[in-house]
Amino acid sequence: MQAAGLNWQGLMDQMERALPFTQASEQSLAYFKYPKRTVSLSLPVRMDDGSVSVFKGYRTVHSIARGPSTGGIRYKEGLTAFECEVLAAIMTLKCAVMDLPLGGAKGGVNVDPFTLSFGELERLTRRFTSELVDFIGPGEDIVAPEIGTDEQIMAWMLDTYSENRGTTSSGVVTGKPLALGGTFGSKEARGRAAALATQRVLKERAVDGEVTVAVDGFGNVGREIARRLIDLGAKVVAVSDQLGAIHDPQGIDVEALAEYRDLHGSVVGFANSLSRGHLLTLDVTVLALSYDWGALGEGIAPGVRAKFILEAANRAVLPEAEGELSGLIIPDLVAAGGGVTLSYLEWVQDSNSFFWSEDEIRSALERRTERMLDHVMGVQRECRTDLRTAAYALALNRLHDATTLRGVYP
Amino acid sequence: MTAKESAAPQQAPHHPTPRRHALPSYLDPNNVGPYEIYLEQVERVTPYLGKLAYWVETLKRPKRILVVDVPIHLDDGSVAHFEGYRVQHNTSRGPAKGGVRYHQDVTLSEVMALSAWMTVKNAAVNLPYGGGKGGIRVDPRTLSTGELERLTRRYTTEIGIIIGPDKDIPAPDVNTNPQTMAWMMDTYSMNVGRTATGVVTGKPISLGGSLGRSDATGRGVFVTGAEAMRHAGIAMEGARVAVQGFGNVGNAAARIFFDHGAKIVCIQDVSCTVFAEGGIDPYLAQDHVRAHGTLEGLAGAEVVERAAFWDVPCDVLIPAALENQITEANAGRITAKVVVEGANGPTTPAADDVLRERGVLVVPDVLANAGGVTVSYFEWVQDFSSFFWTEEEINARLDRIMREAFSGLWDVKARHGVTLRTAAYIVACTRVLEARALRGLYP
Repeated sequence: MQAAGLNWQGLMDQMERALPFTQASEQSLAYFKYPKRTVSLSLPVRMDDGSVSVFKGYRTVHSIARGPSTGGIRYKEGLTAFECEVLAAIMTLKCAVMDLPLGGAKGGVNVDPFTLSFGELERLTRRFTSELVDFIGPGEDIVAPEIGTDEQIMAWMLDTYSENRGTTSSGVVTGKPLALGGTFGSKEARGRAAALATQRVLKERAVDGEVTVAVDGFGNVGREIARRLIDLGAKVVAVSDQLGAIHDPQGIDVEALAEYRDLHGSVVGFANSLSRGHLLTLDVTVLALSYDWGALGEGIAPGVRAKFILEAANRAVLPEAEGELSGLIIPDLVAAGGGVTLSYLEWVQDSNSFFWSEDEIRSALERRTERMLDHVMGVQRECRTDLRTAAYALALNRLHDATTLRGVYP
Repeated sequence: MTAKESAAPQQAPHHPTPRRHALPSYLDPNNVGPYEIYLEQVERVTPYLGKLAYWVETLKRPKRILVVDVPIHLDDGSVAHFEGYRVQHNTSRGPAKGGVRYHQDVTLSEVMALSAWMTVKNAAVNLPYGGGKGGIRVDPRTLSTGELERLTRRYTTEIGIIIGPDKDIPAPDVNTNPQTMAWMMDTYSMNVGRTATGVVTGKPISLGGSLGRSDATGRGVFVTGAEAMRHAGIAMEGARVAVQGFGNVGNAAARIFFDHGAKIVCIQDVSCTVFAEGGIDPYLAQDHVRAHGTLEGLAGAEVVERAAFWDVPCDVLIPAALENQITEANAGRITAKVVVEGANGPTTPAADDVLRERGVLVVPDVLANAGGVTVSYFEWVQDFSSFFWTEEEINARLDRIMREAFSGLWDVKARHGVTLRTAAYIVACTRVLEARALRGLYP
């Protein structure tokens, strides 16, 4: 079954488009046309009222050509194995673009976590982890928090895995609390890297004058993007979350908005309201998409007036909508790699049990992001193509090298 | 957008405050031994733990105790049996870590207490470790080198099922040394079929040991002492320092204080007490002790009465010898404004109260002498990556960890209006229980 809008064929088409700019052949591409493995699990959980509910859980590993796979676990109502497979493939490409020694994975449970009690959430997580014990591990597949999951859930996963294995195994999950081998900066990393990419592209395109920004999605990522772009002199004029959107052409005070949202649960009411659809079509310099996949589909794309579209959430722009957009896309492979880079840095620290200072981590993240931008823009200039195709080409080349060198087992 | 938001209110379950602990059945209620001291310390810090007090029983019960019989052939052909212990007090924050001691008076209660204090020390300094300790009830002076080697190898094999680089990492302690660690590392490696240097720390440099280890504890004494002096408004240049104990710790501490401009006015060791108003050069003192085996006769210094050590006018006093040195009897005479506990437990609880009332700032042992375990930690990290750091790198990282630990404790001291010692217990117990609460109960 396919989730509406998430399209495996779209992904394949994008790969095909990049193929002429790579060393890769159709044959090596075949490796990435299918995920390596998808585990589909049934998870019985005793509920607080004594009844038993059975949830569906998934974990897809798309590729381990360049190293152990990594990717988030999402607790989301309506989650399908197919959604995990598409997002796992994007993780593979993103890790390759970032030049991390990791492959891509994604997983989760079809559940609305807000309907569960704390105890139910813990029992579900521990059962899910127990079922995954033979598939995950610091050298096999590394799990991270995502939509609907957080550091507490990572702590339970770490504990369940460690107790099963008989060792303290902090490297099996990232995005952990600091008290359990987590790292500084994991909440801000993705937004920080997205802002760096935006800054680079705006500079490259010699954008001068006032930069206005609309932010779709106001979680960790959207907040940090807004903060960083304001620091760079931009004006955030509109912000949305799952309950609605607000608009203020004079500029929004993001710190005050963050406090307001923490207090009231939504951005709505902080300034003049507008619909989320209206926000997506505002005439702004940058439209930052940090909500989830599928923010821009076929219907809305022709109305989008933003000059730059920052795809900070994976697959926020659906392939079928891409041709309809007049603005320049800063694609997910370039804009959404900060989170997994920080995960990588956390995993490295865990494998040495030696922890870095905030400054060391921040500069490692920035250095890696800048280097990635150098590489992608280099390919783009050389091949005279768009940023997305350049990023795909770079990723496919690296994946091709890894698979060719490793050869076919046995 | 996270599950935490819905979940947070229930994070600390509604439950009556913890029951007073019941002693484990394997301890004699009429003679609990050192573990009772530890249990009292936990009781005292519990009111400061807030909601985490829900989990406090975790601190009172060691996670795992292994008692083993260690039979060896003696040189005369007979077989002797010894009692061996390994206690893993806690592993919430990481693998267990702590030394192995050989002593004829070792008891289970003692090993339990020492393992618990390792949990506290590792958490106070924020190393990613739990706490462990081991020991053999043996007088090692009665054994030949061959017998000691056989004892160590058999003991290592017996506890081999629970130790390992990611499970529990022993280190030297009373009457054990780098050679003992080399035997342990070899035995463990042979048993698991690969070189596992990270299973013990305190190894010889040629077997994956770390540079900077011999001065590490003294260096930590200096770094935390210097922080304390800053808070007490004492300038390092010309500060008067008195050092009790001129072994590994006191010697290194004296040298490093001297290097930074302080004046070592008095040194006491087992042989005698020497004093010099103009200051003693600890490098010359070290050479003198090496040549003559005593401080007596050191040029430029006069020998004074042992008891006079406590009356020497000084700014900083460093007890770096044995336990129970600062007592109710001498605590009132100490003129120093800062006491840095290089030794373990040098201040009796009653003397601690006297010093507190007199406004003397005491840097407690769990912080002041944690430089040793911190460099053990560096050794283990280096073993993981088989990549070794320079002494400069080690010292810089040691300084950073000790300074950060000090400032974290200082904040808590200020917030609760307690001594640094109590602050260390609050910080340590909070960290351990925070990890316990986050991890929850398995399964």
